[in-house]
Amino acid sequence: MRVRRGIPVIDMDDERDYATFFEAVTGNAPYPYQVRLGEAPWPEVLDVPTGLGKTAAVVVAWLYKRLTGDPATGRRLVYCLPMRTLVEQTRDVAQALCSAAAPHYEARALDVPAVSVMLGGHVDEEWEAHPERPAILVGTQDMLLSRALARGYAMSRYKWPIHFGLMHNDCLWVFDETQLMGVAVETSAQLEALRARLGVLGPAHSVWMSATLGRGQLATVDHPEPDGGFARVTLTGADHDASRVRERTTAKKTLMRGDARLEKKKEDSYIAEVAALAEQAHRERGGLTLVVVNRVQRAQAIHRALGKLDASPRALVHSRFRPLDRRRHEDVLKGDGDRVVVATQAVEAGVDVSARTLITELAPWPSMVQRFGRCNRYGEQEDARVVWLDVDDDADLARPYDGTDLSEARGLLGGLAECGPVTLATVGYRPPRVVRPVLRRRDLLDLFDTSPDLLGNDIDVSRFVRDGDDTDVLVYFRVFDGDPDEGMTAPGRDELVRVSIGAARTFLDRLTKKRRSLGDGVADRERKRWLRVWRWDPLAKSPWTRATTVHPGQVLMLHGAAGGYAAELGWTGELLPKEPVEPVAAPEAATLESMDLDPSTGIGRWVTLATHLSDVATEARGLTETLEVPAALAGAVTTAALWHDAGKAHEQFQRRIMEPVRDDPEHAPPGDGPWAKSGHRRRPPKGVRPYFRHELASALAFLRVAPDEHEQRDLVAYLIAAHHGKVRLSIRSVPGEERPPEPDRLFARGVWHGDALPEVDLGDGTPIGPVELDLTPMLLGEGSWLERTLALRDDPELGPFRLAFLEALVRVADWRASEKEEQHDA
Amino acid sequence: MHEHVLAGCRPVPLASYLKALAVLRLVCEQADSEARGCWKDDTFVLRTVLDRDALLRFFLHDYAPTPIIAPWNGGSGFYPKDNKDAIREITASPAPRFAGYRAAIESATQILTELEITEKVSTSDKPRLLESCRARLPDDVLPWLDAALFIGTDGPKYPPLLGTGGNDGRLDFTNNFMQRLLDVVDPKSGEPKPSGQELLAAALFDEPTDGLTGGAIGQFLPSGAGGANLSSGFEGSSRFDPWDFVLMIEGAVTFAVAAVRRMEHDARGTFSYPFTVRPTGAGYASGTDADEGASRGEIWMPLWGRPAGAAEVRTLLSEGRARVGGRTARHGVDFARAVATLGVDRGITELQRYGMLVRNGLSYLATPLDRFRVRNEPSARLLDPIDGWLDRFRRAATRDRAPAAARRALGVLEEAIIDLCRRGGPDRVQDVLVALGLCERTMARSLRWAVDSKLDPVPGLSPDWLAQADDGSVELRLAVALGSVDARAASRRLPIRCHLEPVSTRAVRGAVRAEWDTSSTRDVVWNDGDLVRAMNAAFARRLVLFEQSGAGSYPDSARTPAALSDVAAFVEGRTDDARLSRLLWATILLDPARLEPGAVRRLPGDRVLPPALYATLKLCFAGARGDCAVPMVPRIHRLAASGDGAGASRVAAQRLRASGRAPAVGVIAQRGDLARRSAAALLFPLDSRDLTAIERTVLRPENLSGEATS
Repeated sequence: MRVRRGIPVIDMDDERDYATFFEAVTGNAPYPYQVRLGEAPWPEVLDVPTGLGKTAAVVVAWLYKRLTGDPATGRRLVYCLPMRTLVEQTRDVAQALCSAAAPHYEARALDVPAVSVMLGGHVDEEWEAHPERPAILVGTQDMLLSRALARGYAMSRYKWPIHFGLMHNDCLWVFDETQLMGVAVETSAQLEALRARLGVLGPAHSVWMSATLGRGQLATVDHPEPDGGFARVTLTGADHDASRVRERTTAKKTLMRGDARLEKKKEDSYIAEVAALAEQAHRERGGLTLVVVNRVQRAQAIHRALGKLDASPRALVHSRFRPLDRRRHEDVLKGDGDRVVVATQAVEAGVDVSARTLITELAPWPSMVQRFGRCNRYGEQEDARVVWLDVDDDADLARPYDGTDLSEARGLLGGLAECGPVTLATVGYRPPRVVRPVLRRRDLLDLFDTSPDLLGNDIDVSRFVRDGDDTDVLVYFRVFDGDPDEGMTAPGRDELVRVSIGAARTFLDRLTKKRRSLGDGVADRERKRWLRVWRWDPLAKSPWTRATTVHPGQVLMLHGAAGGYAAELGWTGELLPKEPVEPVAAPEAATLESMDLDPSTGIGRWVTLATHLSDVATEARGLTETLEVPAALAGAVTTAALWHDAGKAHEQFQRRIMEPVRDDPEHAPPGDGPWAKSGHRRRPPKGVRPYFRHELASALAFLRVAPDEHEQRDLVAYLIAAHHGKVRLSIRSVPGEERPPEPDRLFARGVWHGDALPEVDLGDGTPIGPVELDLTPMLLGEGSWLERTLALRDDPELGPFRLAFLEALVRVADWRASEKEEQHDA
Repeated sequence: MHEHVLAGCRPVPLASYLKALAVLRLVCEQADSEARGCWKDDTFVLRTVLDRDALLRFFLHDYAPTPIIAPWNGGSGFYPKDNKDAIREITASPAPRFAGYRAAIESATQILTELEITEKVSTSDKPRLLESCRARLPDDVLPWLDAALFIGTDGPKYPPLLGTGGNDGRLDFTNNFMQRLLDVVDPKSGEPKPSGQELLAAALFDEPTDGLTGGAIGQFLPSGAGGANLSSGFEGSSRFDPWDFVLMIEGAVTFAVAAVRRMEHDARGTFSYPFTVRPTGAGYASGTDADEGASRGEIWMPLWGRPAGAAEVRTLLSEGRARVGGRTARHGVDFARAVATLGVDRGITELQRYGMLVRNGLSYLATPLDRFRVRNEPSARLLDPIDGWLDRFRRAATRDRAPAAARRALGVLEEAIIDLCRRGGPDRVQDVLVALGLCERTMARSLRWAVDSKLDPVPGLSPDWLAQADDGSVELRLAVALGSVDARAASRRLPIRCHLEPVSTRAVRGAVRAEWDTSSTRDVVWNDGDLVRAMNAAFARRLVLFEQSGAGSYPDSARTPAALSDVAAFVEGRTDDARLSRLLWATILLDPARLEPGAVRRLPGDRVLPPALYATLKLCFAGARGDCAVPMVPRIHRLAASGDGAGASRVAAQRLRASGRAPAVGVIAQRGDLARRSAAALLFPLDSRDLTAIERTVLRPENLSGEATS
């Protein structure tokens, strides 16, 4: 049997094989384009309308190519989507496909790919411990691209390099619904180019899927469109002949202009008219009646008016909800039967619904196209109808859009009586040129350094992740007596509602005015307390400070009684409502790993340093073999593994774990040590240097001992130092460190220049040391740590992507060995 | 390996400093990747495999200039009204060394065409143009772009080093750079022009030349810039070595702040750039607070002593920030503190401080201010706990409507802090303490302003201040003793400071916190002019308050009592009252909750007893001694404070006798100053042992209290 990259290859070259496999896994015969995707090399662009099985096309093709050992198909399928609703849908599809494909994998004794999800509020982490297993990672662009930029959202900062390494090496990136991704397209195109330029281990490729991907977006400075264009898979005549495709692409929707018209000073009657129109459609035509308007306030008003008309079931969908409340509304939207839903542009993207009647306000053309797509989506409706409502020429009424964009759309709509995909394809619309920030090579190189600056500030990657002057403020509600106290936890995702900066400022002003108008009576004093806005400032002496101004991105806490929000309507800005805002359950206090802690040391069992070093080296060897890491690099990983914890022999570390049990025979170590893992989880004793990092001691010791001619000396030293993600490109002391008594003695991370590291047994019988630790590499200049690490980063044979991958391997080896050691007794 | 001492590259002026960076960067990038450089004896030393000839040859024949362009600026050569000579010649040049430049110009032209920008770009179009440039210009232009500007969400920002995006007033650096390049390189052949070698040697090695050229050098080299009285010799025009200009701009490129680097907002919402802070008009000889408003920033240029390569220096310069007390250094004083507390990258040996000051109309000038040696000065860390207050005070005092006194106090404080950071030592610590006291006094005397500015009193200072300020002087010891005087009257605390300023104090989590309290202004009786009078006024006021509260005997207590010999020195007029007064404003700021009796060293040696008048009076205001509490008789103090020692001692003797503690001598005929000072000295707290010693000398032996004799 042939073996390619660790996967036994079974001949499935016969043309029918892929189709058979596809049908076996999905239960459907593939469209011709799906077969092309499974059999040909990965294209750059997959240009197929939504609803024709794109997800299955990609996932099954990947499953098949992994199964057959295609060397150009990465071990991890990273499936990137613009919004969370899509993530959930895609996960379900991918999971079903993996289950269906499982027998094929098992038959060949291969790991069955597992599906992991990354979206706000839910981040799977299992996959990161198994870089050798095939995996499908489905996530939002925020979650995935932030990780690809080494600034992963919603994860430990110390794991940034791991995700960065695993998501750039041995990967297939798929970007779906790219028309909604904005700057993420440019960023992903640049990342694709930079991977090619800076080098990765294993294959790496990106596929962008969209019917309407602007070519300009994909052709960035480092990722120009090749002569002849990007490799593309698209529908051909054969595809169009397939009946499901035809249904979809030829779906008909009658288009007409409604009588209601948004005019200045006549908003109230307009609301009533729209509500009446919707109620009538709901009553007479049934199915989903979807009303899409341009502003949240109008959506709320129409929703209220529908309530008065007793239209039911009904729902309201916009972006100014807490996630939980929004989900409740979306359940109605996505449900079955007759229902009427009022929405804003939040419904344009991603939500897979098919309305019988769509009533929409005039919006810019691309938005109109998206909205039309929510009507008779599958071509299943006989009498689908779209009613569009004109908006008067007025800057105020046009908001949030530009009046000229509305005029243009009005012009394009004028001649249309139908708005199915076939008709829309004939409309001549030229998208305007949008200038977006582009991630450049030097930016990426900078991002590779994950250390916060001297002050703990991190690079903000949001401008490369998502479009928009995201000037929203995040607000959450709690109910408490008096002032908030230190015990209150940081807000959970489900508590947060996004509020535009303007709305937040208005609310704050009204709140302040109201507060000032109140007297000194008992009741008024109580209400005054409610009318305060708080923000959490971990650096301040008292973590809760009153917010007097509002900045974009701020997270503000309001008292539930202050109001501004209703579960049914979302953000209303209504002050002191009758019903206070009911808080969502706050999360458990987040346990953030600080610079000072080593959570992996106390594993409940004493393990000697020699044993641990040898265990980790064994794991590292296994991993690099499975992954077929080139020999020189594999050697560096294994050496780093062998050395990684040598610094634990440092007296400071031994005191940290020994002193807490000195007078406690029950927990005392069963021998002399030195110890790598302890049988307790007690805090380090007083009097030891805070922020002590054993990995720095290990790396410095290695530098002292390794011969000059050691070819991978700097690489090994780097991998040793980086094995907790806390000491990487630079060595700096941190505020609050204990300083040596000698004013000029160098110190960093609890290691002092000239500290002695006693003799260490590396587990392979070779004793090392004793070594006097030399901190001069922290000084700027020849041979400095920074000089060495920059050289590694800029080495064409290594580069940031490979380097991070190797880092990840050492760390995974460490985790695995520790886990085994922990379970040893049990 | 050759070591070149580049005498033309020195820390001052800025142009010369930047030249050093340029040489290192260009040699590393284009000629010898292993080259390294460092600062030795105020000169840049380059270590490279190139010998002198090879080094010169590299710059003359091979050096490919960084494509420095600014299509976003009028005057850059990209617009119809601009001088286009240089850009045209470079575009037309067949020389390979200009290939990068040509590509950059072509790319920029294409961007302008696509964005349909044909005239000098409007403010509204500028962000799009800048974003397009950042997105699409070749990689080798980016360092320049990132050094000249930063594209923020709320519009472009310009680090002060390169003016406003590569121009300074009407002087466009890029167009000038191209012109100066063509002064030394022939665009047709790519070969050096005849005078090139001599000029280059002048630029690098400071060798004499007479081939200087006309042009504008902008902000980096004040003495080379034209303008009345600014240059020596060339009135109104400026002549200099074109290589100086070329290398200066090439050096500035090293300061490329990566766009995604931590451009964090500080408290005022302004950006911070590496080694760049807001100006402080303190610490250098000609500094006045008028400099602050007009200038746009200070740059602290790092000097390092170990040979370093370009990549490392670039990283240092692109992200280096100074940390002080857990935040970024925001202005010059902060930077000085950071330098003294090791808040800058290790390996930097010195920092040359520059101010970008407006002293010449539109032209911002880089003025060398002073030099800081990086050294660990532990006493500089005393300021960390009051960092927040310092910042608030600074902000308030630099606002337009701040009282002049506040601005002066801030000046004194910053001067003192910079001095402390530079040299350390008890005197310097005391200076800072005194300056803090001055700030406190200023706030107290401009209370409306302080309250409106949300300025609290200086937060309670830790006793570490004393340990570091202790110079063994009488004045400090007395000030500490006096500052710690405290009593409880009815439900109120009455620390001595409430006679100096309208405050009330309360204990908050193991520390004492002071707050402005306008209801207690009647207690503020302190007159800064005359210490003795002020102390007497305070003592008199205390007596009134104690009487009102129904205290039986004088209730004062203190964490740190005074030594008898020190009190004697005061009574006898052997102390520097002005200094004592200044120090008192500082010692009242010490947090009494953390103050220990031994906070200041007492001198060993004989106990010098104070004059008899003081001793007698003191026994009337010594509080309860054993089972004997002498009731307060304010008249005793009043008489003494008016200079009538005889009268005071007579009443005192009567009082003591009535309490069964008859003094040995009845009337002590002291008058004038000594009497007044004796009265004032009653405010000094004494410990029990010293009171016993006084009793031994004053009282008849049979009247010594039981406790004292046992």
